[in-house]
Order: sequence, then C-alpha cells, then structure tokens
Amino acid sequence: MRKIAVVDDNADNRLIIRTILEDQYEIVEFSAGMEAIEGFRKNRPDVVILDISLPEMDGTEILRRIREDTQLYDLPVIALTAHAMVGDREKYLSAGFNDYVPKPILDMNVLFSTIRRWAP
Amino acid sequence: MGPRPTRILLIEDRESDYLLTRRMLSTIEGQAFDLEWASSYGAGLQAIHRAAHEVCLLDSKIDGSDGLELLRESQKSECKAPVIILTGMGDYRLDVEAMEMGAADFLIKDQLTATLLERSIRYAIAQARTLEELRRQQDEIRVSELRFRSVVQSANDAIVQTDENARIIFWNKAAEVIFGYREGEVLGFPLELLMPEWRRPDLRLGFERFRTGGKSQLVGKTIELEGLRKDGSDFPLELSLASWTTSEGTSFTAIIRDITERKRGEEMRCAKEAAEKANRTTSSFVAIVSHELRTPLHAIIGFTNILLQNGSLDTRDLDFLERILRNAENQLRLIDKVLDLGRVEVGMDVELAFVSLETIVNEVVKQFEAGRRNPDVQIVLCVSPSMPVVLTDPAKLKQVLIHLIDNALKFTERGSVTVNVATSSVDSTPVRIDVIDTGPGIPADRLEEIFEPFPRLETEVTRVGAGSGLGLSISRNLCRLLGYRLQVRSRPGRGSTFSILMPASVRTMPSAAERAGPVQGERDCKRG
Repeated sequence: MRKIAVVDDNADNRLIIRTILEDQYEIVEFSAGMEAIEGFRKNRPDVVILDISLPEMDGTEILRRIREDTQLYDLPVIALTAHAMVGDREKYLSAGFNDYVPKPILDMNVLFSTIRRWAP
Repeated sequence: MGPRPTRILLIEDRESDYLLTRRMLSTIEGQAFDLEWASSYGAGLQAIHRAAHEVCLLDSKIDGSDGLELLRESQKSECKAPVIILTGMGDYRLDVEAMEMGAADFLIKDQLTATLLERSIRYAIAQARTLEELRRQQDEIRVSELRFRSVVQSANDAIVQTDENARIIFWNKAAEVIFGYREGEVLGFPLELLMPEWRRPDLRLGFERFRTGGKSQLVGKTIELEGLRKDGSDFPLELSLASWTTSEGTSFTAIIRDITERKRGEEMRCAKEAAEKANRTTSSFVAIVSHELRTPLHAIIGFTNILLQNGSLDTRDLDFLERILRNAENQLRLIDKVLDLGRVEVGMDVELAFVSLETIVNEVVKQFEAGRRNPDVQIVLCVSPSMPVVLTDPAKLKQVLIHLIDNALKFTERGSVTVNVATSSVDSTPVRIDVIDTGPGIPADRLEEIFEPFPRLETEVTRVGAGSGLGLSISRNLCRLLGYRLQVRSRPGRGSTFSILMPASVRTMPSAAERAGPVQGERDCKRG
C-alpha cells in the first residue's frame, strides 16, 4: 500500500483526507512542519499532501526544506490549500510543488487522480 | 633726465602774457613744462579738440570774446584736461561762474607767482585724475547695476527686497507675475502683504527676533510657505532669504518660487502611492478573506461528499446531503465573485499582451465543455477566419467571457449559447465578441439593472440554484477597465446577446492566416 503523508494543522481537514483515502492508501498525519520533516526522514512517504497556511512554518517553507534535504528533495509534494484565487495555482507550481489541489475539494476524483499521477 | 614735462596749453591773445607765463614756468624747479600757445579763439578751440595737453590755462578775455565760451567748449569736448582761468582783474562773480562751469581754478594775473601757478597746475591735474577715477567707478557701478537689473528682471523667481522693517524696497518682474501686484502697488508696503493672514505673526516674530538678536532662523535657508496673491488666492511657495548690512541698515532679499505645479505633482504622486498601497493592502486582504471563507467550506463539502459515498443512508438523507452540498457550492461561487468584484472595484493593474482572440475564446469554451452541464444546451463557437491579434489583458478578457458564458448557460434551459467573434473594418468597433443565448430574455426595463450587483431579477432565479448575480457587474467593471463597452440586447422570449465592443483605438496585428494571404471561405462555426 502506498503511503500518503497529510500535513495540516486543522484536524477536520486531516480527517477528511484520511477518510477519503484510507481505503486505498496508508495515511500518516502531521500537524506541523518540523514534526513532518522529521517523520519523512524516519519513514519516507510516497506522496506528501501539504497545506500552505500553517502556524510557525508555512507550507512553502516546508517545501523549501524538503527540496534542500539530501534524502527528501525528490518527494512528490501536492499543495492542498484554500489559497485558490486566480493565479494561485501557477504561483505554487512555480514555487516547486509538484501539483496543486484547491480547497474545498468539490470532486473527490480530482484528489485521487492527482495522487495517482505521482504515485502510480 | 628729470620727470616727463607736463604738457600745458595756454590760450592767450597777448604775447606779453604768454612770455610772462613761459618765464614763470621756466623758473619752477624740479618740474619741466611743455608749453603750447594758442593766440586766438579759433586756435584755442582747435587745440582743445586736439586734446594733446594735460592742463589748459585760459585767458578770461580772448580776441574780445568771452574766454568762458572756450571753457564751455572744452567741457563739452572729449578733452578731459582741467582748465585754469587766468584773468586780468579779480571778479568774484566771474570766479563763481567759472567754477560752476567746471574751471579747476581762477587766477588773477597781477597776483600770479611761479609757485602759485605751479601749485594750481599740480592741484588741477590731481583733481582731474580724481574726477576721472570717480567717473570710471560710476560707470562700473552703472554697468554692474544694469547687469544686476537684467538678471533680476529676467529671473523666473520673484525677487523681493525689504528694509529691516520688512518694508518692500524692490520688486522684480517675476514678482509681478507671481503675486499680481505691480511695483508701484507694493513698494513701501510691509512684506506680510504677500502672505496669508495666519502666516503673518510668524513673519513679524521672525523680523523681531532678527532686530533684537541679530539672527534669523530663516536667513540662508530654503523653506516652503504659503503666499497670497493680489486676487486673494493663496499658493505654495519656496522662499530663500538672504540679508545684507550696509551703512544704511540691514536689507533682506527674498527669492520666491511658485511651487504650485511641483506640489500638485507631489500630491499626485502621493495619492498614486497611497492608492497603490491601498490596492496592495486590499489585494492581500481579499486573499486572506478568500482563504478564511474557503477553509470551513472545505470541511462542509468534504464531509458531505464522504457521507454521500456512504451506502447505508436512505434516500431522504441523501437528498438532504445533496441540498447541503448544492448550497455549499453556491456559497463558494458567491465568495469568489464577491471577492472578484471587490478587487475590480479597487482597481487592478492591466497587463497587456498581444493575443489571438481565437485562442482565448477557444480556451474559455473548452473549460465549459469540460465541466458538468445541461446536455440540452449546445455551446457554439463562431470565429471569423481572419481574426486579428489584439492588444488586451488576456486574463481579464477571459474572466469577462467566463462570466458571460456562465450567465448565458445559467438562464438557458434549452437551445444554445453562441460565442461569436467578429471584426469589421468599417465599423467604429472593429472587434466585437457576442455571447448569444436562447434563454428567456430580459424585459427592457431591466436591461440596465442586470449590471448592478445582486439585481432584483436574480432573486427569482437563485432558487433554481444558479448562483450569484455578480458576474455581469464584474464583467462590466472589467470591460470598463480595459476600455471596452459591454452591451446587452434582449427581448423577452427571444434570448439575449451580450457584446464586448472594443473601441476603434484597439491595437491589432494581422493574424497569421491574414499575413499568409487572403483566406477564402465561410466563417468557421464549431458545435460544442
């Protein structure tokens, strides 16, 4: 079973993703950046679903640390965010996220197909 | 060799007097004289005009005429040599008259001695030199004064001088232009005449401080103040003040520049910067609001979707969940549009690029085809084959098209929505994009109202779940921003046509097809 890491400070949001995905994937949850990066080093996930607006260390900063990490630099990271105005998709893709899914998720298939793109 | 001989012209009709004078001069020690004798009025006049002498000894009676006539001639001539009058008898009135006419001395022949004559000549020459020097200095002063006047009068800045009591003593041309007073209207008046009432106490205080302490905080500095024109209007000015002290007291020179234009420029720049800052603030505020409003909807929609996948719920529950979902989705659209409207109203930057209208329209239509929609409504795209490349803001034009097509689809239950891109070389609107639907149409008295945010018309339709009525309002604002007109034509029961009309000034480039040569054929209409 492929392993998906969900990083979001909001428990409801983590629960939604877990519930949608848990039949098909092994889910690991993190609520903060440092904890998540340490977790990734110990137990590397196949795909990371990363929220952007997080207290202390935001998603863009977490992504930067992942990309600078010798072990983790090539992790597929999907931005799952309520930053969903015109131009946000392009902004996060050019920041180095592999993919982008806006919140709220209107069609759960979008989430599945996005994950499959990076963990076939 | 002794010193250079002093050249003397003697105008004297009696030879005996000439000989006497010559003898007298020859007895003078230490000084040589070169004596030229003119024995008649005419010869005297000639010699004067020749001006080869340094001093002239002139008989008061010559050839029976008045020697003073020759004195007058000498004064009028270029000759600057001093003239000493020699006379037969002492005559006080003649003496005074000669002196007034510029004679250097008045000597009586009977009383004349060599010493007296020598001294008189020496004094006359020295006096003439002093006079000459004085004349030269006066000339210099006059030239300097002229130079100063021309500089001051041609200056663009007002130059105003005052005495130490702040009374105006000088006023240049620019001051007339700037303040509206002519020189005669201000000379002698206090400087505070040129300042608004509320500035005057400061000015008085400044002068008072200068008088008592000898120092002014203003002198040598450039400051910004307000000026008062003759017509009572005030204006911003820049003042630099200099002071100078002579035996007559202290004067002040104020150089005053009208900085109305500069201030206006500064104000405009400030306003622009403030607007840009407000814009940035609003943009980031809008982004935050968008994020915060979407986050709870994520949970609502997420959990609702999860429950809908749950096979154990009965039909009624599922129906309720569908309703929750639909409302949440409506709310999401509403949030996007409200925030969009906010952004457009604040003012956005227009980012222009040359783009093919065909590409833009195609992309937008494709987006609608991909989405879930009513199968009874077709989307038709009509693009004329020689579509130009237009200078526009592609993102904003797309946004307008999305709103117009979305609006058309929302109201059309059956039939088609046609997007028609047309050019015309004769029309005043060379490029237009029409979005034509086969919906219910709009009553004439509502045609303007539909562009208002949340029009009344909408309330009857929202029940169907179509979403907010902000799209048209946003579209009109965006069109205005781009310099386009957004027009609607409609009749109840006959559908509606929304048209984006680009002005004649729109910049276009020929399309690739047109550059390749004339294209034969029909307009290309695709059925989506």
